[in-house]
Amino acid sequence: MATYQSIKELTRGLQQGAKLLNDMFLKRKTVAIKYDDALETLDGDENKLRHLINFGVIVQTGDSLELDDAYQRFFEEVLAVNEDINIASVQAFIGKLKLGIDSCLAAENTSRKAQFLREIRHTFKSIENATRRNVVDLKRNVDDTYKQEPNFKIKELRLRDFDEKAKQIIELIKQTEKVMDEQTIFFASASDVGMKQTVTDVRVGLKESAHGLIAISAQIIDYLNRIEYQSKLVRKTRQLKYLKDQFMIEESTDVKEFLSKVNDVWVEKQPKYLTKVSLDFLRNDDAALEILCNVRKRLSKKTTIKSRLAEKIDEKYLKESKETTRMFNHQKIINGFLAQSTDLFYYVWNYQFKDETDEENKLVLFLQLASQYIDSLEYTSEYKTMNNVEYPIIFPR
Amino acid sequence: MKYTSEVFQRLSRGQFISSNSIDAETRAIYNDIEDNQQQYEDYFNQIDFQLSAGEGFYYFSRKESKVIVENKLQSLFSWIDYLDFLKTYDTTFGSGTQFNLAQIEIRLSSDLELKEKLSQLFTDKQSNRDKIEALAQTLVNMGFAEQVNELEGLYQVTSAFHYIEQIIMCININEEVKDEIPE
Repeated sequence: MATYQSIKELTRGLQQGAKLLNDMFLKRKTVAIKYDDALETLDGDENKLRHLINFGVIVQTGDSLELDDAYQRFFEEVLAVNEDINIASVQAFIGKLKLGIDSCLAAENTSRKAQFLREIRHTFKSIENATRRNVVDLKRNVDDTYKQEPNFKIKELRLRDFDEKAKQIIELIKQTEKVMDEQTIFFASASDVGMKQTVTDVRVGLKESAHGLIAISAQIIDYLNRIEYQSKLVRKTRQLKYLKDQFMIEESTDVKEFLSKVNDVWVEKQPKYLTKVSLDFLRNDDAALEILCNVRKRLSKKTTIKSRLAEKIDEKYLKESKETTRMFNHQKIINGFLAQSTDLFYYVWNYQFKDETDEENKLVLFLQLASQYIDSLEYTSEYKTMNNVEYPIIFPR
Repeated sequence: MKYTSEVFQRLSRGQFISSNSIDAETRAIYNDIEDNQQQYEDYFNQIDFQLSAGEGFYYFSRKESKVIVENKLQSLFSWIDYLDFLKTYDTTFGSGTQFNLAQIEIRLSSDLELKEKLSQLFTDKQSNRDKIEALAQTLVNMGFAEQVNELEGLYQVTSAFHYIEQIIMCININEEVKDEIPE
């Protein structure tokens, strides 16, 4: 794998793939980018993509691409969006600090001493910066977790973890301060001009961070209490709802006893306050005139309703009238049919109806009888034809 | 005591007045009660109302009950149902929460449990939308929520909601029954 040889080369390399890197950084938590999609983002310039992969900025696994961990961490830290609170780095700095001080004491010539002193100053600054960054990250993460994590359990676990982290950072601050306290003579005697100033700055910075951490710890405790309260409340509500639905609530809880002590107004029926208008006011006040007019209007509306009554119903709608509908007496016809031996169609066709009956009505009647009296009829598989009508032969049973 | 009439109008109807109301007048009333709490208490005591204070809200209660326990139970049962529904919708539902009727409606289509719970509420209403609206209106009528935006159907819960939460927390369940309730 190729590596960048200079900052200039690195920035140029990143600049070429800026569009893709931005895209990948935005999606770093959600999806891995497909090779073809990445190519499309870079307007089809495969050289640029290959360059980024060759130089290890992007890692290719099969068809999908991901930002290299080192670069992702770099971007996150520079943009101050990292979620991980890195305590190990501070721990390492403290080790480095001690080593630097010991080396400086052991160094024999002044130029080596000066070199170590510069290193110590840098380490101090790094400790302060890392601690401050950790505190800021912690605060943001605590707030985000409380506000955005939908799962109670995960929310609680993560907050407890942050609480633990806060304690560890405080411990590191204490360790750093201890080193500074133990080595006062060393710092006082150090010939480096900036050293005293640096130590003072770091002390102030660490104090600020410590104060920030105390506030964060308090915030975490508050959040945890709220979660505890909310989850208790949800559980209690579910339990009461269950008991209520099972009609057990009155027996299984002290709800009756509790409510007997609650005399809050909201449980009462909502009162309506009806007050009569004062007669003096109606007689003497001009404002009353308007009210009276309104009342008069409303009253007159009632009379208009009366006058809008419908007219008398016409006599002809009330008179009785007769309408005759012709019906076949199915029972009588079938009784007649059952008493003889011809088939049903022939019987219906030649039946002596009181009134003139056309062929269609006879056909309908035949079908009605054939379907209505299934139990009393015997259906054969023979068919006959009459006047273009094919009919099954049906006999009485 | 600048708002005796308003306080009476609202609280005597069983409403609550909250400190975090979005309505400037309600906030002014709350602040005035807070500044002159003793005077207000004495004033309403004379007409048999006790001004009671909770965590960021005021309400009326009485020395002696005017309602039989059975009726109180009925009022409370409705609220257990409402709270159960709201907590199923959002476990952190409480003072300061903003909710949107359309969002609840969308959740219904993907959450069967929520839908089932809603079907048992406001049985006189047919559609889900009507039921959700009725629930929001009930919250508003009590002073537990306020409409932020009519067009979007956006509401915000007031601090008076603590009241109903406290009532729920105050009811004790017998220890032996507790084990029988499924989680």
